[in-house]
Amino acid sequence: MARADGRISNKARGLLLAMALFLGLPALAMLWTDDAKRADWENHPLAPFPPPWDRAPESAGFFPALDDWIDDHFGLALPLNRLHRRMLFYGFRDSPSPQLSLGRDGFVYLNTHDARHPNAAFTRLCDTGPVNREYDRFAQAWLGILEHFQDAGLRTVLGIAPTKPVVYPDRLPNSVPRAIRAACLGYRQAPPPLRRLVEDAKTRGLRVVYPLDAFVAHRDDDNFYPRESFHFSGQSAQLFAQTLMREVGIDPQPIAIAPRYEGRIKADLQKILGFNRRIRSTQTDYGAFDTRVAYRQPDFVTTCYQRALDFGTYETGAPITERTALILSDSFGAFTAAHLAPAYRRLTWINVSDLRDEEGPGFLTDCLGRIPAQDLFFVFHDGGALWDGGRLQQTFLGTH
Amino acid sequence: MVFSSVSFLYFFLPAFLLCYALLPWRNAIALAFSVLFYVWGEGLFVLVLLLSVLINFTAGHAIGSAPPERRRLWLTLGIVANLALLLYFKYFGFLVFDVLGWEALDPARVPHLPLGISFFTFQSLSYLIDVYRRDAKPARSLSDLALYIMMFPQLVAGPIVRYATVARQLRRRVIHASYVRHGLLFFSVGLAQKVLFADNMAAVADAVFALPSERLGTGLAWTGSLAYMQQIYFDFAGYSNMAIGLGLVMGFKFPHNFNYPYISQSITEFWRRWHMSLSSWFRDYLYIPLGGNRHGPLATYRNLFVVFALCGLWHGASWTFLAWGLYHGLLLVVERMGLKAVLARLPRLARHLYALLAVLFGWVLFRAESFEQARLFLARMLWIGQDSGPETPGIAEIVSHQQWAFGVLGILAATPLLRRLSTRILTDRTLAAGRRHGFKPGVTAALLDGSFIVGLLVLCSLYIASGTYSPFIYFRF
Repeated sequence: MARADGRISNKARGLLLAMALFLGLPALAMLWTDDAKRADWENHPLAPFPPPWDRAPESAGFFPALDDWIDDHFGLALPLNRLHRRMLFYGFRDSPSPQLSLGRDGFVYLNTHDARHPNAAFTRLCDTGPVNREYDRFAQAWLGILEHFQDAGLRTVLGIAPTKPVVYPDRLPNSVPRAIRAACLGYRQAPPPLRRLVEDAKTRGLRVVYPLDAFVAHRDDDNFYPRESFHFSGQSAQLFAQTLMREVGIDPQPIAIAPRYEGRIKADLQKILGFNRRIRSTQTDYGAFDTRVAYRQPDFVTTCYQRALDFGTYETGAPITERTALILSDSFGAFTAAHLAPAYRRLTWINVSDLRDEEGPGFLTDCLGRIPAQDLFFVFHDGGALWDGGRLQQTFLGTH
Repeated sequence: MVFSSVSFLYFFLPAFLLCYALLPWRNAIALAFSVLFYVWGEGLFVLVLLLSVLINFTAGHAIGSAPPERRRLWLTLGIVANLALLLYFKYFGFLVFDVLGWEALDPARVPHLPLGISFFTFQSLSYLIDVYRRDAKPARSLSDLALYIMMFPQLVAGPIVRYATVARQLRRRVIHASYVRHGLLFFSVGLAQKVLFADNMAAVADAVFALPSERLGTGLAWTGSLAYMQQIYFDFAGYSNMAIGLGLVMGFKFPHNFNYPYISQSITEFWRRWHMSLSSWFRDYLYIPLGGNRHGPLATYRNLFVVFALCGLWHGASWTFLAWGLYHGLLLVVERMGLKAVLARLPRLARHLYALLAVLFGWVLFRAESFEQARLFLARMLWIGQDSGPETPGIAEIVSHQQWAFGVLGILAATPLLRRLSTRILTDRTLAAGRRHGFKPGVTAALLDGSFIVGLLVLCSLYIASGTYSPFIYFRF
């Protein structure tokens, strides 16, 4: 075969080379690709380059492993992926992630935390059957926690944030199974176990608030719950903060009358959507209170809570009271803290979603003990609040 | 390795194009990359392929040089050797478990199905028969035959290329720019058919066919079967177009494999438009040698049933594939018995509808895992039997907006309409605009083609990079 079989014209050669260069761009771009960034973005370790001599029985073989390595390392993956996700989100109005559901007119709902269990966030909240069956265990956990901290001298409140599936069940998309949509529509009439918790707490002199009716009453206010995020912000977060303030005896009127303006905030769905975007939200100007925020402060939090990311402290120059407060929460805490801050001289929030059980005792003594607080708020959204009680009871009190 | 994978598209293919453009000995390069392609996907099973090449090279030369009375013997030996490989690797499990009903064998001992064995076996058979019939001379060298059988563009999913078609090109070919341009066009269109249409429809079809029958509603059953109808067409036509495109880029002209099969007005016409390289293979190497339609209607019907039973089994080693083949054979027989004459008197729309529905019901049988699933699925489509339960998902729970969009666009793309529209609206207008601005038509057309190719490749890259589920259906055949 030592002959030039197949003559090629120069134009054809040029075209072949141009195409080779074009298709080879991702391979070339590998040289400048930040693998660590991709691993962080996709939240998994990237496949290592396979040793060609690996003959271990559990090894899938060199070429399958090479495919994995190429898939994980080829250049331009992140920009192409982002572009694809944007196209799905904006072009087709489809959710680029199984974790999100896009309602009619782009109304965003959290579908699930774990893509292997679609619609889990909806069923967990709206299908009240399983919760009712285990209500006593869940309720005892929360009431035990509240009692524990109240006995320690803190004004303690459990604030449960109403979320979109039960505030706007009528806007759930048809991609959500009919039975789940019906359950969410009927949630308020059910009556939900969270309302039982509010009543049970009251009978024991404890404070639990779940302002679902107030949220539903305001749900059609302009931009009450941001259309483009499943977290609350703006008016809904402020209404929630007002409810908490009343519960600890603070008049919320000053923050209710603070000036508002339409603004765009950075959406916090970057990890789920796969791209950054800014969303429309009603903002409140708390300038008159001289409120300043320091994110990831106090810094000693990370010494007793390694995976802490979402925490910070507000200092207010002209607060409604001279009190100090602490919020322990899920991701809704940061949104609440922004509106609760004007009521306090100093307010710290810590998202404890990633706190490990074994870190609990140290976190209580070494961290919380150093944060000045007269008022303590637990803030969780209604989709996970009851389960979070059981988890926190184990973490903080070491009991089930 | 599949054409729509990151490994192939951004690593293997650029490396191949680079070597092919810059180095001499293009056959050697093509052969080396073909071996690498197969080893990458199938590892040591490349030895089966190499054994097949060796057997066919030996048999081909024996047929070519043997005295007339021994030619048939060598042909028979060659055919038996090829079919033995196919039988062992593809049908062993089917024969043992399904036909003979032996349960004693450990299923783990059923041989692995080497990629593309049905395709390269049929190519090899065509080589031996063409040499026997003196339609082609025996390959002049082992490497020529190896390249013919192993050439990576058409190695694993066709089209089935006759040796006579490429024999001259293997030795002497000129690669013009127009070949490369058209090749890249074919390739990018094929990739788009696979990645944009077939994969989107696959997600819908897989979700629907995975539903238990009590959760399957009539609307969903139609949605799933229509999605599968599109998936299998775009999957296979896409692969064929990519293969034809890569062949052109390398200077080879492979036969076309699909000619808008879903615009057919009968099943007879459907088989003239669907997988043409396979249907012509069966026609030339089986149907006509069996006597074709030369010995009266009954013999013709028998021949059709034999051909389509084997055609069904060629697609897969299971009873459902056999039934699918026989179903098509039956339709062809019925059409010959008089249905075609009846159809001819019907309006065109009714003829299309008949052909589409007949093909669609066939695809349900083809896709189903068992006769029971096919029966329940078809019953649900035809509203026969119990109503679906309250747990039946709505169509919106299964089909996303994107899938709807590609589904609708796919209907257009499965007909010549989209091509005609794009030619009329895009090409003609662009050429006219180019003329107004003083560009030669050739330059404008080249720019238009280039933009189209790059646009499609970028669009497909978005989907490929997102790691979407992308298996080729025809790889299992």
